[in-house]
Amino acid sequence: MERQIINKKKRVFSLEPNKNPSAVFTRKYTSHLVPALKKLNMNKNSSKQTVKHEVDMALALSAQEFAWSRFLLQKLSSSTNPTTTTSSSDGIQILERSDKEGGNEEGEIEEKLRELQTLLPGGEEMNVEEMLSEIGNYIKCLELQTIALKSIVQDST
Amino acid sequence: MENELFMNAGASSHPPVMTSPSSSSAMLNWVSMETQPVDPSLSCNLFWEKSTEQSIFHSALSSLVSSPTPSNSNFSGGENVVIRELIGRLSNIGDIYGTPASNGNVSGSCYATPMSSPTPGRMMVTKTTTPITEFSGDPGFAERAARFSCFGSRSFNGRTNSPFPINNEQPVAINEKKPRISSSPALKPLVSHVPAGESSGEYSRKRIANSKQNSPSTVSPSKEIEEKEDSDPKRCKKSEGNGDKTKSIDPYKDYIHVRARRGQATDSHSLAERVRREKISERMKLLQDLVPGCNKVTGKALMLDEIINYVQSLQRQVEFLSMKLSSVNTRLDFNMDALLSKDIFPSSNNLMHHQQVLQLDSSAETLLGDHHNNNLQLNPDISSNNIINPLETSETRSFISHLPTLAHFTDSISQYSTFSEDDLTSIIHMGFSQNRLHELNHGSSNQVPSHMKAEL
Repeated sequence: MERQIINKKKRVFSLEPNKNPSAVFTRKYTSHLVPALKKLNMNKNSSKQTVKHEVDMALALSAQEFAWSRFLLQKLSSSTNPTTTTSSSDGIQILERSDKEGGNEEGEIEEKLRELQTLLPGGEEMNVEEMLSEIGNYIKCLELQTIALKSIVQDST
Repeated sequence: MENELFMNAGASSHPPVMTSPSSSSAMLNWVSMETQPVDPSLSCNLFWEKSTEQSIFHSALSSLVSSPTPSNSNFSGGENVVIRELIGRLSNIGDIYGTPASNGNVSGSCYATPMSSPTPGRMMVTKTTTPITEFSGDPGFAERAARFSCFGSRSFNGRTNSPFPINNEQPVAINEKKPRISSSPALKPLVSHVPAGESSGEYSRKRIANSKQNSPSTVSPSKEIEEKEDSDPKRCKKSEGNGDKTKSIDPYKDYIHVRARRGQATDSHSLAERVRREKISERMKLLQDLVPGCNKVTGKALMLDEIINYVQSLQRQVEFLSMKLSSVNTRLDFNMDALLSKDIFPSSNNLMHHQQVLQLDSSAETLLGDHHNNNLQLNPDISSNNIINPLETSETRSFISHLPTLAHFTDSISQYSTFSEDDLTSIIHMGFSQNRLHELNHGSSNQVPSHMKAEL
């Protein structure tokens, strides 16, 4: 009976790792982030910025198929300040401005598309169609990232 | 060897007639099967249909097949030329599909994914050389193939997803003939596929500019095809009165051919504008599925608003969580292996559930392998769904209490012993469908406390 259970367990073990893209991303993300955090913890110099940097770096490394991840990686390697914080605040400003305009619809849509471009890392350098497709997978990866972070935080508390 | 095939086909036309349709369909089936496993596990395919690659290869190859036909009349002399053209065009396709993966380019993100490496694309291309050369000798098949290439364009214009129903429709009327499609047949399918192939279309346009300089041999085949296609309109019936939109790339002049719809402006600006707008609206539709709450909203502006808000909220969440993480990080040491073995998955449907069971990293294996002799009564529960969540259940609480034998777990045991049942169930409810878990909790809880007491 015990042997059967062990065998059953072993049979489950022998299967290949999950190829589902969400799972692949999540696995990569946690495998990047957790060691980095551990190292940060050991070094005892974890400021808020450094953790955010690691978080963004893990995101960029886990999603290397996409253009935005390459942009993000470039930004992170060139500067220590992650730009996602600033872009979100800019986005809010632009949104308010467009509400005041109330002009033609096309103009509004253009405004919003431009705003979306600022949200996406590397969005300014893409044209609109590219940007829209990249936004799709960026959203997905952000969702997975938030779930991963939530579970990591919950595990540690 | 290819020469022999041509000669044989010329000498006896009957065997090719019999074998070619089946082999063509076999080849195309093989092409589609070849492309399917490549597809994969890449998130790009979450959003884009898989059939883009299939349909691209379909019509690319069919157009290749139709190309040697003009040389049928001049068989002995032209075969070398035809072979060279074929090889040139095939290598062209190979370049087109090979370069995105090899470039590591900025723009080719979605498009690079179907080819996990350059070699599958190239291999497939070289494999198809020999079957294609067999077809050349059959004029009847060439006619069918030419019709098939009309189907190829039709499927793109009609915005269907699956190229395979085309085969069934073959006797049925095709979409109206567009002689201008054929300006570069090998490249046509890359750009004329409107849904979801937009990024690929643009990238192919860029690559065409490069390949234009590299392979002047594509000029002559495209001319031949143009003649062939011009003779086809009588055969291709027009099913619709209106002109559907067509796009093709002219390698010489490098601009897009677009057919205006009936009753709409025909100047170039508005056409280009319309093309662009349609592309954008296609993408927006896909985004609508992705962003929750976008289904109720209609109109581009409101939807864009929703998307912007959603992205901003996600980014803010990530910021907040990372701040929380930084505060947590200073206090605790990380239980890395347990976290990795936990296999954090977002969705809670059954499919993911089973996938969780199936996916077992080596870390989980070592964890459980070391302690199987202690946890035998837990195993029936664990093997079903708890292998992945060793932290969440009361059984695994005892399991974790066994872990002190492993050096790097000792410091983290104290945290886990403070888990209450409520905490655990809340974690469970967070992202996992664990209906059975509760039964197991209650079922074997009587066995557990003894373990816990013994170890703690």
